[in-house]
Parts: sequence; C-alpha cells; structure tokens
Amino acid sequence: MATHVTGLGLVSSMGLDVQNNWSALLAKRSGIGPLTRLQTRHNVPAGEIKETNAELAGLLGLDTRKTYSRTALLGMMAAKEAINDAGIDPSRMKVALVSGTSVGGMDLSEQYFTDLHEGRRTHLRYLFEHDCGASTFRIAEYLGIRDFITTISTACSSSANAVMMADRLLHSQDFDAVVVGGTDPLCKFTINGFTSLMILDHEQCRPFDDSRNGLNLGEGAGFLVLQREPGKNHSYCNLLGYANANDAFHQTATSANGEGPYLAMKGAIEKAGLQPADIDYVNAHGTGTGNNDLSESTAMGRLFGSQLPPFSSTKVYTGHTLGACGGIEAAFCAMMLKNDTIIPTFNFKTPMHELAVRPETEVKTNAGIKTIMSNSFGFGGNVSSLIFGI
Amino acid sequence: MKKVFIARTSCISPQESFRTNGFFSSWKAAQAETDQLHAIEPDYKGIITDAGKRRRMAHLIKMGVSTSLDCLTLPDGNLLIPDAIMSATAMGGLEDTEKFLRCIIDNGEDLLNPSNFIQSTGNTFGGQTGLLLGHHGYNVTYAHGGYSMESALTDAMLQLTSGDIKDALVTGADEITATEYEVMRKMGFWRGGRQMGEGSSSFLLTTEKEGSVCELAAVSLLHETTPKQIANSIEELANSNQLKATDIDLVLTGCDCDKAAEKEISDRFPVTDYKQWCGQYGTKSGFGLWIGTQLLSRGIAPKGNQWEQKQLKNIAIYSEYRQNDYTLMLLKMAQIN
Repeated sequence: MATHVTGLGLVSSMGLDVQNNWSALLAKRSGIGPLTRLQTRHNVPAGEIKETNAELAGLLGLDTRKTYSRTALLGMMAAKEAINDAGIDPSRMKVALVSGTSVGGMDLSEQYFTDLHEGRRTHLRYLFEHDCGASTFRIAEYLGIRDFITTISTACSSSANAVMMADRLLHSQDFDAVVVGGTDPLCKFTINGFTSLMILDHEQCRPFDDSRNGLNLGEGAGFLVLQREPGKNHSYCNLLGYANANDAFHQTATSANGEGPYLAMKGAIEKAGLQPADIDYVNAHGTGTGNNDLSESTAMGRLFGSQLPPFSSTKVYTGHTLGACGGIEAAFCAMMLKNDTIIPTFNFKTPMHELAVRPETEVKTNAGIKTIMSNSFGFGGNVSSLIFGI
Repeated sequence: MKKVFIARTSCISPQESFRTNGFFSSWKAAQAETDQLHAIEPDYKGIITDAGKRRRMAHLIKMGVSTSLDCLTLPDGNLLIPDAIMSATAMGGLEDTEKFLRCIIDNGEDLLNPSNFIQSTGNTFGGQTGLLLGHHGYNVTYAHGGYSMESALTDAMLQLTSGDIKDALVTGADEITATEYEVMRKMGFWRGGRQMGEGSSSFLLTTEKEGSVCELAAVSLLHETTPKQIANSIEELANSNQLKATDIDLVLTGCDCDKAAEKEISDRFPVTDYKQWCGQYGTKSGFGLWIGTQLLSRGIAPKGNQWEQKQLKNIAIYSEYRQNDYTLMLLKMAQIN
C-alpha cells in the first residue's frame, strides 16, 4: 500500500510558494533576519514573513473585514498551493485534512489582550480563533474539505505526527486524498516563551556547530497531498515509514543519550522495512540549541554507527517554525528527492567538542539520494521521524 | 480486522465519578442553579505522589494525568504500560497560556515564568503521563474542538485494528477558565440553561475481549448537519455495524446549541442527556463515553429520573460542540458477538 506525495505547498520567510523556497534553498539564502513586522522588545533574528495579515488575506482573496488568525492565513496559502499542485478538487473527492500547530490563533489573542491593556476597543471574536482547531477549521473551510478534519498539537513535532495520522487515514477509510501539514505564526508568546527558557540565539543559529547558542524562531506553513496512486500532476516521492516515540526524560529538554530520537528513527526504519544503511540523507531537527543537536547527534551515532549518512538542518533558512516544521521540512525532503539534491546547512565551522559530526555544508546535486529521513522533536518528549523515498 | 474493546476507564467530572460508585448509587438531577459545573477533584496526593511535580502541575494537567494513571492502575496496584498514549484537549493549558500572555503584556515582556510557557502547550498532560510512566512508545495529542476526543479515539482504533499496537490509553480533558467563561458570557452563551463544564476521562482500549467492559464499535465525525441527516446517521451507523435502528437501546446526547437535531434524535430514539451532568466543554464526549461504559458494565439504564437494573446492549453517544463539530460513537456489550 503505497503513499504517494502528489502535491506540495510552502510558505516561509524565504517565500510564499514552493518555487521561491526552493530557489532560496539552492542559493543558500536564509529567510532569517531582524524582526521588522512583529513588535517586541526582544532583539532577536527570526524567519519572519514580511506580509501583514491583511496583505496575506488580500493575496488569498479573502474578505479582509473578516477575522483570520495568521496561523490560518499561512496554512490556507500553503494548503491551497498543495491541492492546486496535486490537481485535486475536494468538492469532487473524499478528502481529509490533518494539520499541526502549536499556538493556534495566538496572534489574535495577543491583539485582544494588548487592546484591553491599552484601553483600546477590541473584538471578542479574536478569541474564537484561539484554539488550535480553529485554524484548521478555517483552512478546511477555505479549501472546501468536509469529510474529516483534525488537528494535532504536540509542540514542535505536531505536523510530523499529522503526517503519520494522515497516512493511516488514507489507507483505512477510503480517502481519495489527505491534505496534511502544519502552520505556526511568529508571535510574542513564543518569542517570550523561548526567551524565558534562554534558548534563543541573538545571532543566526548554528546547528551542530560547537559555538551554537540556541535557536531562531520562524513562521510558516508546509502542506503535502498524500494519495494512494501516483498523482495527476506529480509523484514527488513515497512516504515509506514513520514512528513516534516518547523521550520520557524532561518536559522541554531531550535526554543525553537521545533515547526518544533513537527509538523514533529506528522505528521509522523498521516500519519502512529498511536498514539504517539504506538512509541516504537525514534532514535533522537541528535547532541549534546545545541540548538538541548533541542529543540528536548521539542518537544518530547510536543508530548509524560509523556509517553516518549525510545530514543537515534547514532551520538555518527558515528558523524553527515550531508546529509547522515537520510539514515544511517534509516538503523540502520531497523537493530534494525530486531534484536529487541535498540542501546543506551553513554557519558551521567547528564540530561539537563532545561529539564531532559534520553536517553537509555545500549544495550537492546528483546526490544519488533515494531514501531520506526527516526528524522533528517536540516539548513533552514527543519525537517523530518520517522516511520518504523514490 | 480486529475489534476494539474498552478494558478500563477513569473519570474526573462535576459528579462523584472518580474511584467511587457515588454517581450511580442514586440519580443525580442536573444542577440547574449554576452555569459552571466544576470538577469534583480527588485528593491528588495518592495519585501523583511526587509533591514537587504535583505542585507545579496546573489544574488541567492534574486532572488529565490522574485519570490516565488511575485508568492504568491494576487491582494489585501495579501500573499497566500501554503501547500507545493518545490525548485530547480542545483548549489545552488555557490557564497557563493566559497567565503567560498577561505576563508578557502587563510586564512589558519582562519577568516571565517559563513554567507557564512550558505548561501552555496542548500536549502537556499527555507528555507528563508519558514522563511519569517512563513510557517510550507512541504519544500524541489532538486539539480540534469537539473532534479532539474522537480524533484521539480514531487514531487508537486505526492502530489497534491494524494490529500495530495491542492497547492504548486515550484521555480527553479540558478545564474551565474564568476568561473563557467570561468571553462566552458576553456572547450570551450561558443564557437558556447552558452550563460550562470540565473534566477528564480516560479509557484503556485493547484488542483483547477477555475482561473488557464493552466494545467500542465505531467513532465517527459527522459532516452532514441537518437534523434529519444527523438522526439518519445514527441509523446508518447501526446498519454498518450489523444492527437495526431499533437495536440502539439508548442514545446519550451532549448537545450545546442545536436543539432541532436533539429533537429529531429524541423523536426517533430513546435518549438521555449526558451533558446535564458534565456541562459543556470540547472533550465532553469523553464523559458521555464513560457514562455509556458504566451503564453497560453495571447493567443499569436510565428510566425517567431514576436508574433501573436493566442490561442494555447497544448505546450510541451523540455529541455536538458549539454547532460546529458533530460526532457519533457506538458502544456494544462485549458479550455480544
């Protein structure tokens, strides 16, 4: 029972569609820079999309007097591109939507409480977009998807977990297609949250480098269309396997021996019926925090031994897009397979002193990649790995 | 395809439902005088034994973790470790989210307490349950309004019926917060007898019929929403499970707004409103499911404003959340083949 990736949609600080994202990745052009749209006292670089909510609503052809959270707007844009790319019509087919998000409509909740605090007139309807499901509901409404809609919220692994559920739905309940991915906005809530945890780097993030000093946040959405047959327009790759494991170590940090990540990667390889040696590339979670990169490298070392496949983190391009990163990076992986190209990380100079592993630092074309893995790790110990192949 | 059974349950609700027969020892009429039904909280000391951890946990997390652990506690006191943990919450850690948000705005993005941020994410009680159990298996949280609980149950059923796992803990929980109550009050939502509720319901799902309470035959999200279509879908659900409409002994209903659909159902099926006991919240259908399991396993049934000794065989649970999310579940007595 094959699962074909037949459509892609991407919105990030690198661009508002797949083509702009892919061009930026090939040119090693990061979307991370100073914050100019979001008002915050924290001077941190981030992968910020410069369009305002009203501009995004305009691009989507929405009634700009209506209330849409940024989360919903970003998700609509990427999911719409994905279904157009696949050439599917939800009004004529049985289609499910599974989305992942960590903060839901937080940008509007912030607006509401800020208005209250500053004595401005505000709108209760802002708070009706708060919960995670509300953003998915808006996306479904926009796309005309009614058959099955749900939302997963497992922090930074939300959309990777959504892909797993999507695959199960696709094969068990006669869906013609499942639209799956995730969306998260930049907001004061997460900027202050990660500041309070002291894991935001004040410079550009440096995944797997000894000098790494935290992550950069980002915003965006990434969606895939999954179908049981090759698509009308494309079959980028197949979803071959996946696994979710719980690190069960700490609410926000990953264990030193990377037990959860090890189990997720191992489980995904087993589910795909493969061996570790079959993995040609790993799109690491690679946030750039001291804890994540060491733990993830340790887990990769345990799994792959001395035969560590090429790996990189694309967080240097997008920032950490939280609940969206699993969907965004899955779309990156699909593009890498289709173009037989490895997208590298950059800002890497010195290997970690505890464990010297070297990520890819140059774009590699004709890379000979057939089977690749994408990792996403979240708060609460929720870690997930996906495997795509051609 | 394997069948799915409910082996164990636990419930914290506005009723005496946690480790007690209290609720079923007499009929409890709806508490009409209030528009908030707060959960009756157990003494958490005996459940979450680590005092430090317990103190740091918010209300929602304590409820979610407690029914989860209780559901897994075997008669000999040992904990059963399930293959997978699926959690559900419509609103997540709303109390911590709001505390952190107010702190950002009122303190000008300064003097922030990271524990509010950490506990604000939707997967906190699912993650904490995994952490306390030392559970390295599948762990996921659904947060989609009135579909949250049904999504978690669907995920569990898909993995159980395919044979990927042999058992799963499914917990749904939401909490009352002052702000959500107030926002809904300003919208006039609590007029006309509506009550806000809260609670946590846990179920151990298994493919083992032996020792189970009942069969969870179906969980479905409805996308047709006219009253007639909704009532028809109960009949269709019965038919697709080799039953006739008349085989449905009882429909437990939890309707927030849609009185027309409720009326249509009650014209065609015997009904009892479960929401009167738990109030309205996103994962209230977990409470409805819990009531269903109790009626089947205790051999009791509602009769007017009383419980009577009567063994029902098939119970449907119908839920509607804010006229947006409509769902159905079907429970069968496990002994029926």
